[in-house]
Amino acid sequence: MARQRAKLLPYLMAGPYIILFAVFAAYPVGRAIYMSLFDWGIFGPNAFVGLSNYLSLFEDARFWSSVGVTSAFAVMYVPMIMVVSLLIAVLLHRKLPGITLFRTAFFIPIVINVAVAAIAFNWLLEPDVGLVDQVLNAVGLPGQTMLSQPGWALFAIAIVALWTQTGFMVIILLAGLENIPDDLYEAARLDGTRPIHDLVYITIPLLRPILLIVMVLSIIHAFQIFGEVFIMTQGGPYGSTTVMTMLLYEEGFERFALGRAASIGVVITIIIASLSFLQFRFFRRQV
Amino acid sequence: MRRTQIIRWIVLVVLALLWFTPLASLVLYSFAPPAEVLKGGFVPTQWTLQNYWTVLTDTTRGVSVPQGIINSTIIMVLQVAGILLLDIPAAYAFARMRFFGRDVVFILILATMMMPGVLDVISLYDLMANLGLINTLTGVILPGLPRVIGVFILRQFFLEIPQEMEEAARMDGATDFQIFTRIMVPLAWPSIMTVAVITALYSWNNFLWPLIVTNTPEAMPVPVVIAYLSADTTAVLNYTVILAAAFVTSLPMILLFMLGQRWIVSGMRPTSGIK
Repeated sequence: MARQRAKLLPYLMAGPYIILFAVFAAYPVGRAIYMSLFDWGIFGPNAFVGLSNYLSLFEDARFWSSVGVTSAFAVMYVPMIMVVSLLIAVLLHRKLPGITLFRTAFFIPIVINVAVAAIAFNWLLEPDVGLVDQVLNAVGLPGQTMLSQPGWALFAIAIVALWTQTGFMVIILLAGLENIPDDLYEAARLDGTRPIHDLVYITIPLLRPILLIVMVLSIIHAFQIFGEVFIMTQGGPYGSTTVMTMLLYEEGFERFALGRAASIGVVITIIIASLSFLQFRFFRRQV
Repeated sequence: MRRTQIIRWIVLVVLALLWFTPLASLVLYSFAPPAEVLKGGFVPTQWTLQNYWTVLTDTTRGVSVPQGIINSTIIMVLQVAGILLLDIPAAYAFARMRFFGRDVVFILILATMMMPGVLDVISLYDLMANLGLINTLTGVILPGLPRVIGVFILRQFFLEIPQEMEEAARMDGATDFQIFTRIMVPLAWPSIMTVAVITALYSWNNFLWPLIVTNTPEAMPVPVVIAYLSADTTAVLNYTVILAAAFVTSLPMILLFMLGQRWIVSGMRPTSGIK
């Protein structure tokens, strides 16, 4: 009797989670791929179309434009967040007067949702009256209209993403910095090196595995950017911020072409998976 | 040495001020009369609580902020409770018990953890539509329950508990289930807090899925309400009201940040697979 119960117990403990996981996580992933093979409307599947959704996607200029926009976003955002979060982590690593306040400044965006962050930056960037224009006018420069200019609008969104994500990356980097023994810096000091040498010859080389993680996470984030775009620009001006997730949203919930939208989701997943794989492959040798 | 310290401090002050600016400006102007917006300036010259009164009493095209706060609170409480009830025993079983298919299932779970959220939003929407759960809080809550991060953090913790502890309890006649409830769960308290706090953050702030699954004002959680209000074409006229709504709805999370910063930090670390 007791033995019987003991055998049953693990199933009772893990079972509920596994069932929910199967229904609301594993099944939807399989179903997403399945749906991408159908002409699937709001009321369900209309016809099996094989790879047509993908083929028509690859012939669609809007799709390639969204790939370009998303890549441009990643090219702006990823180096920016790596440099900024490394700088902040190195500065925060050792005790200083006011360190708690500094930590709060960088960590608090972690708890702010993307809608609020987007509103805050919309307000800062509001032409004529926002704080950015106030500062520009105060030093005698003309005001800006960033959010209504192609190129600049995408940059503004990268800044918002930088603001929201830096705290998270700094936490990861600080964990890495704690693992670098202090002796190394002390030895360097005895050799009379300058602080910038510490960064280049000790910190960065020893942080490489962590920097790789920061890069992979940032690229994953960049290819899924959505909320900032949805609230700040709705993909405009002239489609210049229509990232892939935005196109997915439009296809799925404005045109109700669910099969086609599912195929965009699959393509985004493949891009993210390949980029992550390539990075680990490429950098592992050097780490 | 002295000089580098001072330079470090100055750079940090400048960066910290930049990082505080968006929220500071939002909070300051949420206390300004609507007309102040058109004047411009760094700080409002007049102050009022009118915006907050509007936020807490008005309904814009059916959307009301208090309703959003109620919805988000229900979603958060049920998701945190649900995830803890599901994750703690499951993580323990994955870490310290043998059962058929354990490792295969766990690898599958980890593989799903790597999948980007945008992969399955479409199929989840279709699934929820079939289940009749569009525009319901249940529809918002359910897909969040199998989140992997909690199981991952707790399993990591349970793996590190030494075998001797379990054996000593068994010698004293404890059953497997008693070992779990009386010894392991109390020991796991810090990890349980971490999972609770990061789940609360996720519940309150999640945007894409709630946006997709709720179209009616009655079911919208806070971030969707904010997005809806800001999409108002007359937004410029009540900018200060939207700023007030944004601040009010962020307060619970700011409070959570102040009380639980260390849990947030410890929850972010294992996400990346370090320690």
